[in-house]
Amino acid sequence: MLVIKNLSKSFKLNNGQKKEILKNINCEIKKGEKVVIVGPSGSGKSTLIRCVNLLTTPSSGEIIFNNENINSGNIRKARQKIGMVFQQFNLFSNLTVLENITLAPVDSKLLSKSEAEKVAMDLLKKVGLESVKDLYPKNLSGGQQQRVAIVRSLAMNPDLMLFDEPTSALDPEMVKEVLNVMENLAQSGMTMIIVTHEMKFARKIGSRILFINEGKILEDATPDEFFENPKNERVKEFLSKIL
Amino acid sequence: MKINIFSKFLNYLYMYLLIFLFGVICKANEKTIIMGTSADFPPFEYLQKSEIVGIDVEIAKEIAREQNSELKIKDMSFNSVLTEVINGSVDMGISGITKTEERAKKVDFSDNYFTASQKAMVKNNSDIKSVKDIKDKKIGVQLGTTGDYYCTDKKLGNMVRYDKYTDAVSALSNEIIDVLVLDGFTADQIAKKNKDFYVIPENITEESYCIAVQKGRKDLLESINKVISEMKQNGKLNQIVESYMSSSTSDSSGEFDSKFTSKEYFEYISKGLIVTLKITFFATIIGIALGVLAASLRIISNSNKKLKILGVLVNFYTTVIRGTPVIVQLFIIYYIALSGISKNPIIAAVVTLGINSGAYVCEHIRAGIQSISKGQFEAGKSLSLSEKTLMSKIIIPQAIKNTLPSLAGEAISLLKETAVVGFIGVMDLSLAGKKITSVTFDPVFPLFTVASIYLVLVVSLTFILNKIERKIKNASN
Repeated sequence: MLVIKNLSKSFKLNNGQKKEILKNINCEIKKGEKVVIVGPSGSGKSTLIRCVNLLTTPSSGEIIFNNENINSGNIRKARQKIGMVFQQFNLFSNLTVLENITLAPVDSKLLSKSEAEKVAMDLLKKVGLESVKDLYPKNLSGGQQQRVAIVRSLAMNPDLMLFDEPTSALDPEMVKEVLNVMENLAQSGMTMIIVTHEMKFARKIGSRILFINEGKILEDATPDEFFENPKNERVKEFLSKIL
Repeated sequence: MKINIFSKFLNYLYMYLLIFLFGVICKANEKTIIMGTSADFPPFEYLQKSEIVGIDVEIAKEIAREQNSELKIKDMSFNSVLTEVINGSVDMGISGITKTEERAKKVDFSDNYFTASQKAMVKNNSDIKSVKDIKDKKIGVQLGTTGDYYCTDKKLGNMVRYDKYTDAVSALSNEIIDVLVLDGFTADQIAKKNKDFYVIPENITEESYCIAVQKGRKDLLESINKVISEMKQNGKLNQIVESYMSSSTSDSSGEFDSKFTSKEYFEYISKGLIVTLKITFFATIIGIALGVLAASLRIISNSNKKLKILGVLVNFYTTVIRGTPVIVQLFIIYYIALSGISKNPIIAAVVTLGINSGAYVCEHIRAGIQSISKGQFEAGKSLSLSEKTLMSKIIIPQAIKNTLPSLAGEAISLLKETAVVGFIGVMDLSLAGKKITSVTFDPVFPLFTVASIYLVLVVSLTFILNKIERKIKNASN
């Protein structure tokens, strides 16, 4: 479903030097896989996931999604099929919950307004939030906002969902409600790429774990292999610190 | 045939010749007298609707009547008037010409018909009783008058130069200056109306205006002198001088008496208030429209490389407008940009303040957009929203909400900024206050009245705008 080929990303710093964030990343993700990306801060995890829907433009390399090269192809069409959930939720603050969810499918002419509202209500019911449909984001808790954000992406009926540290900005007691939603989504068969620091969660739902350090994939393994028997020294060091 | 044509031609020629001769005879019968003048010296001679009028013209008319001739006025530069008198191309030079010994060598001068003087005016209770006393006092003068030159030459006291004598009179009334040196005629007029002032009778400077004729034209000179003395005796000269002086040299003393009735007072202030409100209202509308337009153009140019020029133009607009004083913009728009289209200063004022405000509104909106978190844009992109939907449904509504407080501030500062329109003669609230001051010479009451009205307007506008803002804020997030 998704092939990342020779992906590199570098920024020019203010002093004129180039900083390489991603160095020649190659990886393939199949339909239904749940790929969890872990690694130390600043390793390039978020940049990698943001390159998948071109919120960050790669310096070189290709992103092939559903057999189409999206660097050169129609990015808007690809984004309709790639949902994204942000660390800071990023709900549209001037729209109600329902409007947040229905705006994109109606704008993309995927659904009529009434269809979109029906889809939105079904999805809200699934995450237990149908009662907040007319509230504005600022009146919701962080956990509620993030669940709405997930629903907003799902309303587009995506093939692939990207999660960029979805629980990092949450109060600890709200983490679980969001992870539960993600777990249910995983069980429904959705293809997912997740950047997270929640190791237990990663082990539980991941089909593969990618370990990234200094812009390179150091380990690409199943959760059991990764946590029980890591090959790379850097991964061992990382795990020994966080577990 | 040939002869026929020839005789026909002769017939015509004969006829034309007759007509021509008749014309010449008629012309010779009708005597003319030519006055040379430089029509740029009100109230003595100036153009009014392409006709030359003034005190000198009235005198010349009397002379022509005395001579039983038709008056012809030849307009020229002041320097040429005496030259043309000398070489005889005009019969008399009447152009507020001061009689000097130098000039008297080249032309003959009539008796003087007007004495232009500068006199000292003080407050009644002043200890200054004669011109000698004004040394070392604080002296007000009108910029560029002979009084100004005189006091500057003699290095008298501490001088304050005023653009308009009315401002100087207010200053005297308020004892900002001790003495005011101004045109004697005007001074006498003011003192006549306002018993607070006293005019020291002696002239500080004196110039005699006389009529110049070619040397040796005794008959003409005699008849001119006869007319002048007659006009002096029967009071006609005074009458003419008074009517021209009060309509042109004084700003407004012709319009009201110094005893300003409260009804006139109210009328003036309320008319000014309406003008101020009108200008503020229309300028605010133009400002918001232009500002939103400019901000949208900037957004469009940012998202489309082909339209980059639009962004450059918008930047040019905001930089130039925000980098120059509004009063200079007002002058440029009134005197240059709109001069060919409309001479209405209120239109120039609305256009200027609208354009000015638009630049600030544009920047406020830009700041409003910049204050929106990057996440809103990224969420929109990741959901594949079109640029149009993202801007119109998400970014702009949030930007406007963020911008509301500064837009309200802009409307309020615009209201106060309208006071500059007085500089192009629009009778707004500020100028109305100043006008009343220039008539009553009491600056305190009118100016405080005007200030209070502005204050009430600003406070109520702030109140209303705050309410609207809160309503909009509550309506969404």
